[in-house]
Amino acid sequence: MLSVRKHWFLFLMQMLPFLLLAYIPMLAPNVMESFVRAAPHAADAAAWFTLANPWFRLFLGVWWLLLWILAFNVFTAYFLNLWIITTTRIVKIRQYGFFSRQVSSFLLSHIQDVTTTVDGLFATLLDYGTVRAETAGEAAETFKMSGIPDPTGIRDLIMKEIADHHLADKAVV
Amino acid sequence: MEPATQTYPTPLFDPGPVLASLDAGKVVAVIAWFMFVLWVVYTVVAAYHWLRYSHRSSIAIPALITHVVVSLALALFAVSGFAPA
Repeated sequence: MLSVRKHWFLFLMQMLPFLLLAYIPMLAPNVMESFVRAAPHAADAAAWFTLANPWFRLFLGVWWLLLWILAFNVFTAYFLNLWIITTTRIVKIRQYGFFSRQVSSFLLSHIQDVTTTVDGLFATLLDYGTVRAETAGEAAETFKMSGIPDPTGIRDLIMKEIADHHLADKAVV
Repeated sequence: MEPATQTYPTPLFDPGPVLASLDAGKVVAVIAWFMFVLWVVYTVVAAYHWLRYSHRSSIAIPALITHVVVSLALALFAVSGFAPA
């Protein structure tokens, strides 16, 4: 059994906006300092944007706390969204949000075709991409795992499990 | 001859007088309570999902402890400028 989550790089990319938003208020003292040089009468207002001011600290603390909660939320979603590959099926667990969850499974014996896609510079360098498994027949279904690490290895594993499954079926017959 | 006087425009943003007129203790208490309620609801919901759906992962408990510790540190930082009366 193998559990697969999205690649860590994609998780970091999701975290980047939070880091930037957390850092922006730290620029305020420098911005205000240069503003005061141009407009000395604004010195009182500029003094507000320092860590010595308890109100600015309060704003900063609340801002960072809100960002932390949102970032932890992203981490929770990253961790709870996963694919599990077993010897008989692929299980996809999708956590859309709190109290919204979908679990679907796909029998390996029904799979006819497995495709991997690695698209882009970072995906190529860091080895992550998409694996698509399709069933045979007119009512073909597609099972897509996007942003997973080592897509080629995952495809090989799925193909091996399918081959083993077919061998086991023949042995029974 | 009258002495030259220099006038400055009113600052666009000077919250000093407004904030000085507020009772800091009450404002901080209201914000702290609001944030605390929000945080508790979020943390309980997140902990429920982590403990129920993380498939007994060894990361669940450390992740929740990190969340609580970082949150408390940020909350303490937020109110650290206001000395208790």
